[in-house]
Amino acid sequence: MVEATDQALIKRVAALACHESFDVLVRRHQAALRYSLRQMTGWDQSLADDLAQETFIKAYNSIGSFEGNAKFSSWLYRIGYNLLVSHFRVARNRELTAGDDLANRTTPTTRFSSNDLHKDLAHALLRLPTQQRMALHLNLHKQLTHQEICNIMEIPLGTVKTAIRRGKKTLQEELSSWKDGDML
Amino acid sequence: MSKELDLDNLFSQLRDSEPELHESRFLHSVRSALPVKKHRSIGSETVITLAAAVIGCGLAFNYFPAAELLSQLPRKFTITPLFVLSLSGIAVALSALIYLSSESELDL
Repeated sequence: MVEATDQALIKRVAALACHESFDVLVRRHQAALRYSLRQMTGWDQSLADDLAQETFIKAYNSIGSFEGNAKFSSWLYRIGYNLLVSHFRVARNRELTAGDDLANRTTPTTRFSSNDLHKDLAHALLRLPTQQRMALHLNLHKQLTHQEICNIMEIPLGTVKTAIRRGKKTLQEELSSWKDGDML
Repeated sequence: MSKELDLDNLFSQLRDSEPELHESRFLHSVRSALPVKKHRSIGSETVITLAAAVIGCGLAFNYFPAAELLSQLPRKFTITPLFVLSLSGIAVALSALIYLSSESELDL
């Protein structure tokens, strides 16, 4: 059976508001987006899923504005990243008002187990500013080029390179307590 | 000083062991939050179609020059080689059009 392309499904959603076609798009892209958002939120599963859900709903509502020159997944990441930034901005303002500080939160200094590697890294990433965290994830995990990251995050190429360089440095410092584990 | 971690290796391990995130509950939550499509009731659709049909029939009855067109119909047909050629040309063009349109619909 011929698998419908993203472009064809997008056309159907835009023209006919076809929920079934959108379901296929959600099924195809949900796992990657939800995983990335978990990594971006310190493995807060409910927050990540809420953001992913909001991302898909925004994508559905503005699918007519999607230009076919980018990948659908990149477009989703752009929406997701913008939602993430807004979320952390609001959360930060709330915490500053409440006298808490996100950066002063403790992060685990040792890895729990190999199964929790994803969670541990997500916690460590939480110490980085959102921009660095996202740039680093897209570069090291998703293996996207600097140009692709720059298109998703809508920031200059130089800023992307700086964010990745600084992010790597900070992450190295954060993970230095993991010592020479058996896996690393 | 502790040895620097190999980030590329670390992320490669993460990629290889990425957990499988089940879709059913998530898909349901997205689906339920999507704006509902506005459907016209069958009754109103029927009324609109019937009204359009009645108006169309009335207009056709009044303005369609049926008698004039009928008088122009040829009384006899002569099958010439040119006629056969034209007919097969039209058939080929139609088949090509249908094939192309169905091919472009394949990925939908």
